[in-house]
Amino acid sequence: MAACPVCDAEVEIAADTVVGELMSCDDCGCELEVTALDPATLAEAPEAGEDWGQ
Amino acid sequence: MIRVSIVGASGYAGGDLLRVLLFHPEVDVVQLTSERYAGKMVTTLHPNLRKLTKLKFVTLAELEPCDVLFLGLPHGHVMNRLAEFEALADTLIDLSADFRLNDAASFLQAYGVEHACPERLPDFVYGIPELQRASMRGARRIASAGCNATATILALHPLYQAGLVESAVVEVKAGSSQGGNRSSEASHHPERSGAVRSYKPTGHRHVAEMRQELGADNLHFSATSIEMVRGILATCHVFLNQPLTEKDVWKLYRSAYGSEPFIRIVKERSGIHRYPEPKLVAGSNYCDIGFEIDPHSNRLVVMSALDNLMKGAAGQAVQAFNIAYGFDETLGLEFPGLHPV
Repeated sequence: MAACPVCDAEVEIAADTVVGELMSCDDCGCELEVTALDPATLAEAPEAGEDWGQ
Repeated sequence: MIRVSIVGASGYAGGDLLRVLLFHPEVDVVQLTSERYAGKMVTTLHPNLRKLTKLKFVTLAELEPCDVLFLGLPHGHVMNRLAEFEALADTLIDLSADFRLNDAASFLQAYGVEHACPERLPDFVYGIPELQRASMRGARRIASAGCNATATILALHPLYQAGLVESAVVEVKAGSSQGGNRSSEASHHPERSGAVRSYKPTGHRHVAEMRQELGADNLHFSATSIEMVRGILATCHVFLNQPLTEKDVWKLYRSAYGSEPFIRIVKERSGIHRYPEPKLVAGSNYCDIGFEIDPHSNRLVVMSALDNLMKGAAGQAVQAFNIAYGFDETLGLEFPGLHPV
C-alpha cells in the first residue's frame, strides 16, 4: 500500500510493480507514477500540456 | 411478500415509486390511488410502465388494508388524514413535508399553518438514510426528506458535523419536475422552456428541514429553475472557520460516505465529467458529491447532484423502506442511470 499524494487514499501496490509504472487512484482517479519501492511511494504522473498556439 | 399501496400515485414521484417497486423482489404492489384518474389504467399516466402492470387507479375510499402505504400526496394532506391511513397500514412512508420537522413552532414558521397533529411529529423518523439509518431500522413512521434538502444536507453534513462551517450559501439549480405534474402559468411551455429563473432567492420553505438536520443557523439557500426535467445541482459555498487542505476534505468525506451505497465522491482531475452532474444520475438513487477549495480564500465549494424524483423522493423512500424492513438497502434501486442521455 501507498498513499495517494492527491487524496490520501490507500493505493494497492502489487508485488510485481516496478518503479516508473503508472496506475490510477480508485478514489480520485488521479494518474500516479510509482517513484520508489520498499517502501512504495507515488507521485502525480506528469500530464501532457496543451499548447493552443496563443 | 410485503403488500404495498401508493396513495397519490398519479404524480411524478408516485410514478417513480411504482417503477421501482414493480421490480422489488420483496414487494407486491396492490393498489394505487388517484382521485382524479380513478378507474383509468396507471399506464395512462405512467406510459413507461406499459406491459409491466395492469393496475388501475382507485379512489382513497376504495383503499384496502395493506402492510405499507407510501403517501405521495401534496403537502398538508397527510396530517389531516393520519388516522385514516394508520387504520389501513402498519407502516406509513410519507413523501410530503407534513412530518419532517420536529416541532409545531418550526412547522408554523416554515409553512404558515398550524400542524393538524403536532403531538405526532416525534413519531416520524426523518427520511435521509445516511443520517438516520439506526433510527430507521424497524421504524413504522418515516417522513421522507425533500429533494433540495437532501441535496443540501448530504453535501454539507460532514462539514457541519465536524464543526468546520463559519457560514454556507447554497444555490440549487432545479429541474421542472419539482413542480409536479399539474400545469401552471409558470410551467406553460413558452414560459418554462429555456428559463433560467430565480425561483426562491430567499425564504424557501424547505430550508427549515436543512437547518434542523444540519443544526445550522448559518445556512442560506437560493433556488433557480433551469432547462432540465429531472435533477438538482446544489452548489454550496462554504466559508470555513479554519484552513483545510484538499486531502483533509477527502478524508472527511471518505470517512462519512466511503461505505454508503448511494453516495459517490466525484472529483476527478481529468476527463469531462470531473464533478457531479445531474443528468448522469437521472433515474438512479445516487447522490454524487464533489468539492474544490478556493486557494485564495477560506471558501470550500461543495457540489451535489441527484435526481429529485429518486434520491430526492421515490428512491430514497424505498431505501428507507428497505432499512425499516431489514432488507438489503439497495433492493430495487440498482439502476445506475444512463450515459449518454
